[in-house]
Amino acid sequence: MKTKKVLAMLMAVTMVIGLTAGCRSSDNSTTGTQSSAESSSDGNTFKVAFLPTDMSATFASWLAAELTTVFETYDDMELTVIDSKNELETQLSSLETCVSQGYDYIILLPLEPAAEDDIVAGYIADGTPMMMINLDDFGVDEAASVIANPYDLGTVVAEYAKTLLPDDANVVVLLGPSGNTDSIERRRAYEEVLFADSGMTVLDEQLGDWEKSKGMELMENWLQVYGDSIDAVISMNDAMAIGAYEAAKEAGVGDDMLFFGVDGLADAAVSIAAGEMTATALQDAQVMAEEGARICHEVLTGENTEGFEKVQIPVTLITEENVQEFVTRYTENGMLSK
Amino acid sequence: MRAKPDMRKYSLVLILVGMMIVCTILSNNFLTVTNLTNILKQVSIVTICAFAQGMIIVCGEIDLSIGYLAGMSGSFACVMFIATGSLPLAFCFGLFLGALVGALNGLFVAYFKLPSFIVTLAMQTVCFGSICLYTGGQNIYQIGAFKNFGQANLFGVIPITIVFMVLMLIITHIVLRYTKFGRYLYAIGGNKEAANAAGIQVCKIKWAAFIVSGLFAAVAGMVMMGRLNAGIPSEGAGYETDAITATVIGGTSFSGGAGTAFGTFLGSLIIGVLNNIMNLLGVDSYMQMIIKGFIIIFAVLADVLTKNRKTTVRIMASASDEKKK
Repeated sequence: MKTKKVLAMLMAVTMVIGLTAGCRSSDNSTTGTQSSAESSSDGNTFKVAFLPTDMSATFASWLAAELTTVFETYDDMELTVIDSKNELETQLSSLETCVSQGYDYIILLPLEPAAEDDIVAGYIADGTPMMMINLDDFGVDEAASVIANPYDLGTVVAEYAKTLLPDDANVVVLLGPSGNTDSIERRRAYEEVLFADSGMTVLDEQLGDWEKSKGMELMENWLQVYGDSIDAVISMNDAMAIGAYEAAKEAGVGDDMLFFGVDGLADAAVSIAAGEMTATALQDAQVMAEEGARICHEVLTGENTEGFEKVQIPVTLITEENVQEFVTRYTENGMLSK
Repeated sequence: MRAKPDMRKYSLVLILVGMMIVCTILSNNFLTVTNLTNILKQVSIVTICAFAQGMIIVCGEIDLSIGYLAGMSGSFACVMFIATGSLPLAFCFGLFLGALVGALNGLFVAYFKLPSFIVTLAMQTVCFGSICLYTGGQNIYQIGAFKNFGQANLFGVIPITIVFMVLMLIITHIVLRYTKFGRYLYAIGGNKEAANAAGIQVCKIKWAAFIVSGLFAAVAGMVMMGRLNAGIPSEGAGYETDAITATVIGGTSFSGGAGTAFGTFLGSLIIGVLNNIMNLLGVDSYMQMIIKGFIIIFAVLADVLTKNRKTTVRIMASASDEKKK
């Protein structure tokens, strides 16, 4: 009896906490679905939903923050962010919900574009315009698209690496999770730009699953086998490259090798500024958000009669030459403390 | 109350030594001081998690929140260090968070009799959510001297991660073997009703066990972030299952009541050596997954077979315990 009472109290308390927590998170409007559920398209405000892959992932949350900021400058559009928690199933059901809730426009940061094409095409045919942002396999003609080509991201770093590495260089390669489009495309760029027409040797390449600790562990083991014959670490993202650097630094050979990554976020900016990593490429979430909001607005107001537009935003190479600019920028937008 | 399966410990040592001999033949980079140190460094964090998991499994429960809790408390400790610049304060703050989450887990499991599997599974998202809410999904960089928790060397030679692991090994061993609390854990895991009848305060002990587990996870988290030289909450994910693997290879019974700190340590080393040799040999990533899975099954099989031959009596005893439940 007593336990039941205590339990009831506890549940009530948890619910209240849950409620307040929910409110708080919709205040800074990065998560939560409740903020704009009731006002529908009959008013002057268009309801737009953004479905990111995973709000705990650095890039997705940055893009969500930039989109939120940009949307605040439009009076006639309102943005709701609905997290997919890195699960395709969740993303698909959120998509379903958004359509049935009468959202006027849906911006999708897809987890698996190829798997989502048919569904997206179906919803567009039923009258909800949609946009693929950051990742797109161009499987739906009528969907708007704002991406930084993952192949280009690989290319700019590979081209820079080509100028620094000797033709007979030995490299090790760190890959993202198995089957990941970004990793595969970036790797393909390296193959075509750097490896194909040079005498470089890929000593080994392994899956590091985007994780810093995996990059570190693999590098520790590689240093055992290949020692300082490794000239460069080619990583498909920054976290693994920085992990590899940490391992090399501890083995005392950090300064004898070059470390190339992709992503260009705060961690890489700090690392390049400190002379650790060599170069990375950035897909700029701010530009992406601005372009996305512009297209979204043009479609909703009827300015764009076609109903979609496909743009590719340029990628930026970050090296020691221009890194300070990004450190400043990331400090200003809060991605770096201090 | 608890027959110590000593043979089991030796069979694990034999498996490990056997593996190491094979590895030495396969690669001449294997048996070097640096490489062996690397292996110890690489297993240290998961081993600390496994000690926590081991204690919980011994008392018949499971703690799935360990990985995310490590990620959360480690990252919050980084935040604290950046804010105050004090390593001891950051460390204590991390420990406090670990104990807090452990206490919550324990409260629901021990006093409200909820299944630990569900409670700790739910606690994963609570932990991850709270750190992400604070950081806005961003990682914490430029953690300065906090990296000493994972990158410093004791006396200039022994990596601090190994020191932490050995320290936790000793603590776990003493707790499990020489304290009342430890003996009660075995008793509760072996037979909860009997333990209750014998006057053991089952709820209290279980609660304490979850708090200890939380503290261990927090230590693992801080070492992890130190080693990574950044506060990355998501890096903790998956450690709970790796910890279970190490614990079970180490001879901890999934039904509770049996398991040792050294067994867990050896289990963890077996996995560490396996990962290491496959990377030294440059085995294909996908092949690695398959080989690893089968070797883990064989290691447990070899262990069980050795145990069957030598300690029939004990197995029958534990089987009759099961029936009583």
